[in-house]
Amino acid sequence: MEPLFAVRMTHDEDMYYNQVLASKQSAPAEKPGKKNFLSRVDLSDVIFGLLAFFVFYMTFPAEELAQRIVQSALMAGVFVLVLGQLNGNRRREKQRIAPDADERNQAEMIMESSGLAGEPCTVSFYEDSFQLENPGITTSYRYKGVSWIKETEQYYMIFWTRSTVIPVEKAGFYRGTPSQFKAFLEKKCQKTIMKAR
Amino acid sequence: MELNREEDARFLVHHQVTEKKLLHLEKGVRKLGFQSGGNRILAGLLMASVMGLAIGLVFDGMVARTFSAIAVVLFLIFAAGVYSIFKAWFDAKKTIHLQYEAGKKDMNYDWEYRFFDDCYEVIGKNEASRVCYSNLGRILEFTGMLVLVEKGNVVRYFMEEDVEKGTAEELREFLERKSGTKTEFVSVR
Repeated sequence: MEPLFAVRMTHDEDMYYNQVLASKQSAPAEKPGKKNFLSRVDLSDVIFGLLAFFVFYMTFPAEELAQRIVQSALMAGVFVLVLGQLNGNRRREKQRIAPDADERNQAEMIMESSGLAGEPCTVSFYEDSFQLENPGITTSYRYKGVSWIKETEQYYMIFWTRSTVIPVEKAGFYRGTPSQFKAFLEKKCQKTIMKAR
Repeated sequence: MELNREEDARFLVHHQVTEKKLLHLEKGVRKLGFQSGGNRILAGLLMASVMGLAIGLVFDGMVARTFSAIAVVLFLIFAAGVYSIFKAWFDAKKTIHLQYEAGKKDMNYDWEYRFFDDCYEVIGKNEASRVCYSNLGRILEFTGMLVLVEKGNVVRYFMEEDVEKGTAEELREFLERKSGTKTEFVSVR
């Protein structure tokens, strides 16, 4: 039987990057308004501060207890402030140079662990099911089992479960077109395709 | 995809997903990960902490204070490590329970595995896969549970008692021969 739509793709970094993007839940919008001091304090900073305080308290030679506590607290405060500033600068710099570096790294890790890097794959869509063919493994899915579908700039991502995603590259159609496919898939799965980014 | 005939299968497995099996799998995966370095890190921290305390007890003054402080900090890191292991386990338990309950309504928990000479087939409610043995990357045994790790990060699992045609022992040997990989054993209580 001839498929209604068919797509040829390669397991490359772009495929996994788009998968990571589509898997991300959209972050909730931040509420406007002033934040108080406590809500801005990071738990790891508090732990670092306590550890630093403890180390300074144990090592400072001052004989008087109050003096040791004040010295240790001040030193721990400075330590946490400097560390926080350095971390913040590093994060901002990383964000400025490569805003999607984390997603790219994650995609690379998933691709390497999958053992499929550079391998070709095909997805064929029929009237009542669709079929994913990877080297050595063929899986047939029924449309009614699809959980949700997301769309990135280059891919449609069919989420079978939270962790099983079937990618469909828009540039890889050799039967049918992406725009016809979108309407077809929404109708077959009874789902609305959501934009990932 | 045309499936092979069930009666031609050398081994047959009927597996139903239960919360108990999911927890067993989670325990095995956790233990497997821990074996690859986590236990060495924790043991190292504990040993360094004990050594620091011992030096603190032997010497006096500044040296004793410094080593005691380092020992306490290392012990705190060790305690945080142990706490995070327990917390991760309880979180995973909670997540598994929620996911299992959520998946109940779809009733997608019945699976059949058919092992033939040249491939095996996995059949679920809404999906069916045919896998060549060359695609099998790892075979794991988590005390009574057989776990097959395929290329593409696909993990399939079933209990040894779920094997209906043939025995679990024979199936394991068959899989090892066909895929050319050795079974890795992980003891799970």
